[in-house]
Order: sequence, then C-alpha cells, then structure tokens
Amino acid sequence: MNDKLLIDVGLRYSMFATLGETEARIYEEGVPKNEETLVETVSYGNNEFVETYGGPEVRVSARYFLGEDFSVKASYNSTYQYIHRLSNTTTISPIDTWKLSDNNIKPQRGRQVGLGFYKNLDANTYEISLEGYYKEADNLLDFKVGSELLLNETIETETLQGDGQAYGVEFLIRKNSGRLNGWIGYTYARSFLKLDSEYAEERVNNGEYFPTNYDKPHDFSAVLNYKFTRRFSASANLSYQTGRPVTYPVARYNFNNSEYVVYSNRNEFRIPDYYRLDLGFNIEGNHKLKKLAHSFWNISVYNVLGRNNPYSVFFVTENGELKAYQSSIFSIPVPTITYNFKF
Amino acid sequence: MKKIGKVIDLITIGVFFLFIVSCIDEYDFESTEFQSTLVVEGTITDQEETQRIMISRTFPLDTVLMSGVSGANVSVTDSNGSTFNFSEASTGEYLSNAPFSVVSGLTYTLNITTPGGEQYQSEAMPVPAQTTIENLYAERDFLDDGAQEGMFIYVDSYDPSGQSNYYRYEYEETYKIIAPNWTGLDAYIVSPLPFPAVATRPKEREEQICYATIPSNNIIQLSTTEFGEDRVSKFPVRFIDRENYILSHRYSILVKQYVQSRAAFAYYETLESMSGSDNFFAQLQVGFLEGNIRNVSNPDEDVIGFFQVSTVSEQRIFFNYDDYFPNERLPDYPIRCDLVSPPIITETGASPLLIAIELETLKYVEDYDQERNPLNFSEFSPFLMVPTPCGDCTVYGSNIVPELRVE
Repeated sequence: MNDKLLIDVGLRYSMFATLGETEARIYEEGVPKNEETLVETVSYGNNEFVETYGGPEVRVSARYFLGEDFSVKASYNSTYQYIHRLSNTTTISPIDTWKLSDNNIKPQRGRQVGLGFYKNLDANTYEISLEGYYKEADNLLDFKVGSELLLNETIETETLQGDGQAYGVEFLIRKNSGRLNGWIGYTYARSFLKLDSEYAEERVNNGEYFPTNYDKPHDFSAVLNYKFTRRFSASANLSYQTGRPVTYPVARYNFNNSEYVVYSNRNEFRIPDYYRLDLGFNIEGNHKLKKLAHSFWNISVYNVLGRNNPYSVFFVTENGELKAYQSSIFSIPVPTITYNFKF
Repeated sequence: MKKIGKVIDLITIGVFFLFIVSCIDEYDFESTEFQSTLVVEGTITDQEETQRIMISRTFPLDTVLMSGVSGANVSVTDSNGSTFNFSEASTGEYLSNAPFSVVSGLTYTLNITTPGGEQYQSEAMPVPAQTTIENLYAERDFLDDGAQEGMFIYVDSYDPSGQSNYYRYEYEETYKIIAPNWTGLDAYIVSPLPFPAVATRPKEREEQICYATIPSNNIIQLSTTEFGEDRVSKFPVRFIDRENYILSHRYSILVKQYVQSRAAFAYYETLESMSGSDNFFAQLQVGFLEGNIRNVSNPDEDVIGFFQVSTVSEQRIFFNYDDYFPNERLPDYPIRCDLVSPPIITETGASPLLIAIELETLKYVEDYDQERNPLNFSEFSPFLMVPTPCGDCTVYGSNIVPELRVE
C-alpha cells in the first residue's frame, strides 16, 4: 500500500467430495452413533459422489515497518481441513490413524489470528522474533471414552467431533553469521478440545475443554553450529518438550460382584517430559578448487543423553495387579557415520 | 471371519512394530493423591419386591479397603411424588422399607444424602417396556472352535411392540456337590503323643451332599436393534465346560432378563470393555465413565455408577448331568482325591496322622489293612485318608438344602 505497509488478501473456495466405491453407513438422527442406531447401509458405485463438503477460505495478512529493521505482522485466515489425524498415547506402538471426511465425519474448520514482531540486529546478524496466535476450530475428531483405538472398521461409532481452541507464543533468536551460528526458540502453546453432548456417552470430561493429545505447553529447542576451522565444525541440537497428556487409572471399586478400575479424567496427567540432545562433528575434505568431488565426513550421535523418552504409557493387568509400561523408541544413543560427496 | 482377519492384522502390525519399537520398560507411575469417589449401584425393577441400592466408595489401587458407605439416607421418588425410603441392611447395602415396584409411564429418581451431608441425585429414569422370557433351555454343544464341549444355557424372548431392544442378563446358579470319598465316620484323636491313638466316630453334620449358589459377576448384554424384529433367539447366557465340576450331579440356573434404557446399555457396555484389558493389543481410549448421578451442589463432581430402572423377567431351569451325558465320565472334582495313609508315628517321634486330624487337612475314608498293604504305600497307618474337600462337601458349599430345590 505504501512504503511501510504491505497487505495480502486471498480468497479461495475449496471443495471435497467422498467418492465411491464404498458402503456408506447411515445412522439415526439425533442419537449417538453406534452399532445399535445404524439405520441402513447404502452402497455407492465407483466414483459416485457420496458426500460433498466445501466452503470459502479467507486469508488476510499485513506487514508494517515500524523502523528500518523492526516490523510487525498480523494475519487472519480461515481454512477447511478434510483429513483428520487420530493419535493417542496409550498404545504399545505409535500408531496414528488418518481418516478422511465422509458422510458421517464432517471436515474441520479453523479460524486463526496471528500477530508477530520482528527485529533484526547488527546488520542482520541477529534476528529476533516474537509471535503469538489464537485459533478456534470446529469438528475436531477424537475418540470416545472406551473406544477401540486400533483397526476400527466403523470409526464413526467410536469418535466424536467437537470444538477446539489453541493459542501460543513463540520466541526465536537466530544468529546467521560468525563462527557460532544457529537459533534458539521457545514456544508456549496450548491446545484444547471440548466434546460435549446431551448424551452422557458422548461427553468427555463433563463437556469442558481438556488438553488434546498433542498439547505440549513448553517447547524449547536450540540448534547451534560452531566452526572450528574451515574444515572442522561441530553442531548440537537440543530439544525439550513437556510430556504429552495421558489418562491414568486412579482407584478401584466394587460393582456387580466384581472389581473395576476408575480412570481419571481424560488427559488429566502427563507422560514424562521429552528431551534429547544430538551432537555432530563435520570433517570436510581439503578445499582444493580443482577436485573432482568435494566430500565431507559427518560423525554424529543421536540422543547423546540416552534418555528413553516415552512415547506412550499404557496399563496392563497382570495376575490381578495393575502395572504401567512405557514404550519408547531409540532409548540408547545412536551413533552414525555419514560420508557425503558432491560434484 | 471378520474377527480372524482382524486378529491377523493385529498380529502382523504387532510383529512389524516389535522390530521397530525397541523399548518397553516398566514405568513407575506415582499413584496420585487418592480422592475417594462415591460409587452407586442399584437397579429397581417392576417386580413387587424389596429393592436394593448399594453405596460404596472407591479405594486406592494398591490396597483393598472395606468400601461400603454406612449411614446414608437413601430414597427413590417417582414422578407422581411418591417417596420410597430405604434403610441400611448391612454396610453399604440399602433395602427398601417396603416392597415396591416401578410402574410403566412414571419416571424415577434416586436421592442420596451421605453421612457427610452431600446430596446426590440421579436423572429421572423412565421405565422401559416389559418383555418376558419365552423360553429358557439348556443344550449340550461345542464352543465355536470345537475344542470345548459343554452345556449352553439359551434364552428366547420376543417383544412384538419392538420397544425393548436392550437387554442385560444376570444369573444365579445353584448346583449340588457330592463328596466322592465320603463316609459316615470321622477320625478323632483318642490320646496324643507320645502314645498316639486314634479311633472313629459317626459324623455329626451332613458332609456328603451340599449346595452352592453363585451369582453372575460379568456383564452379559444384548441389543436387538440390528435384527429385523425385537426377538432374542437362542442367546447364550452361560456356557459351562463339561469338565466343570458344578455340572456333576444336579444343576439349576435362575436367569433374569432386564430390559434397559439405551443409556444404561451404553454405560454397561463401555464399563465391560474398559475392564478387560488383559493383553497388550486390546488398546482402548480410557477415561472417566460418566453415569447418571450427580452431586446436587457440585455437578462437576465425579460419581461412579448407574441408577437403573428396569423391567425384569426371570425363569429357572433344572437338569441333571445324566440327562445330557448319560453313562459318561463325571467331571473331575476340583482337587485330586488321592488316598493316603499317613503314619501314626514316625521314627522321629512325630505323628503326621495326628497333625492331619487336628488341622482337618485329611478325612477318614476307611480302615487300612496294614498287614497286606494293598495300595503299596511306603508308610502307612491304621486309617486310609483323603484330602478334606473329598470327604466333606461343606468346603465348597453349604449343607443346607436351598428352598428352590424340587428334588
């Protein structure tokens, strides 16, 4: 618009259609979807339209220069997302299920606003940025209480769609030149989901907002490179995240002549925090100009600290006793050696 | 078939991932600060009888506490304004002061005031339709895979109005036990060590024929919505393996068919699925299971359990083992009944026979011919003995004949 202000506006109409060949299950209106309320199953032929979703998506962003190297950006966008990801922290192995929208599962809609401040220091050697965002979403997909997580053929009977809320603040420092370069970032981000209904079996946590499976409040990461000489350099990568939420058993009780376990509210607790340090060392071949191929060696160790970051925590009854197990991947430091060349 | 395909899929994925996932460690999770939650269990029915509500509290994972709640004020009100009060019969068990039954068309609400002064109230529950058991019968058959043979107890029922749809079954089985090595005499100690002597005298109480009554403790449910009509046809309520000793002589089962509301059906179904995670691969999304009872002043408080209003129909059948397994071998008794003859005195001066009689671990069968030693024992005594349960059926049941028996 002028020297200082730059505005981008975009409008898009997106459409998604579920096509046959498939069997579409239709459930009774107004009651929870489960095996008992299945009304009929309709067969669709190849490439026949089963269900169509669509809507406008708006994007607006603006940038304003407050000083020569200080700018502020603001943005608003609304989107439709037709594919859903169902993840969990309670299975033995990390399995995420991807689900496309269909006649029973509506697409997600999101509306996000963002605001950021950016400052460059010292002739672009340092970049500092501070960003914040707030997002509202509809029709997020998550599991019901007591649903089966793996290999579920009729996923619409085990999942619910609800509203979501997410917000966060990110802080980043980046150094681009010099012997020591890299970046350090810290993010505080929350993500919540609300699953409410007039039916108790479709309510989770009393229909109040609760942390989603991927809610990680604190996220700290740093990537640093140090050049010793032109041929030798080292790099370090540190990441730290708060543990993902999990649901624990908290008590037992007697019911119907036998004993049952009480579980806490969904995602009320967290698995242990995740942190990992990787170190690497680069050795470059000599820098003669006329070499046929330039090569370099890289020796690095993944997960130097050897922390066995749990991916999930699950409970098993063994001999009448309730035990907890954590499953983690790569719990030992993994050394690697790589030889690269380019010509 | 679908189930087999699913199991194969699970195994394939599991094996694949076991190669990738390198680590499963035991995790020491701290049981968080324990908060005791109220547990309410009660089903009131359309049978004119003393209705029962059970109230207890949860207990921590690693201990077992007496969990019944005493001194609570319990009542049920109906939509006409009538109130039915309950009084405590035993810890945590509240029985209605007078027998009553639920009436179709009204709704019922449970009210509880705990000794601590907290008030709880359930949702107003309607009365479901009534369906009687058409037929309760037993059949000898094999389980699906043909490996196990036994007795199936089947139920048939039909609701022409199509209103019932959700059924839950409870049963109570009563069976006759006969001690295989029973005799009319008991051994007793005439004189102790160092000069042991034993003799026999007639038994003072019935120990040969006993009866045991065991209620069901699993959740057996069925819904008929996917069938064209509201008909329960040959639904197996119970399967008893033919090797189970309870079938040995005479068996009787009382089956109760409860018609439930859809919300009750869903509650029990989820409860059942969340309680059985015995193996690694049956992974469920767990969480707090919400029932239909709330704290009046604090609706967000977790309350466990469900207040059910059901219509019930019950039937009882009897059968003998001989009716279905004529001339076939009886199931084994729960323990092996090996005949032994512990010596009355050993070289070390101890008396295994006296110890067995005193601690009641063995029962007398008959006198043993020490000269001929027909059973080729290495050591023996004047008496032939057998483990107590083989000579005394009261170990497994009660010698009081139950009233329902029509022998």
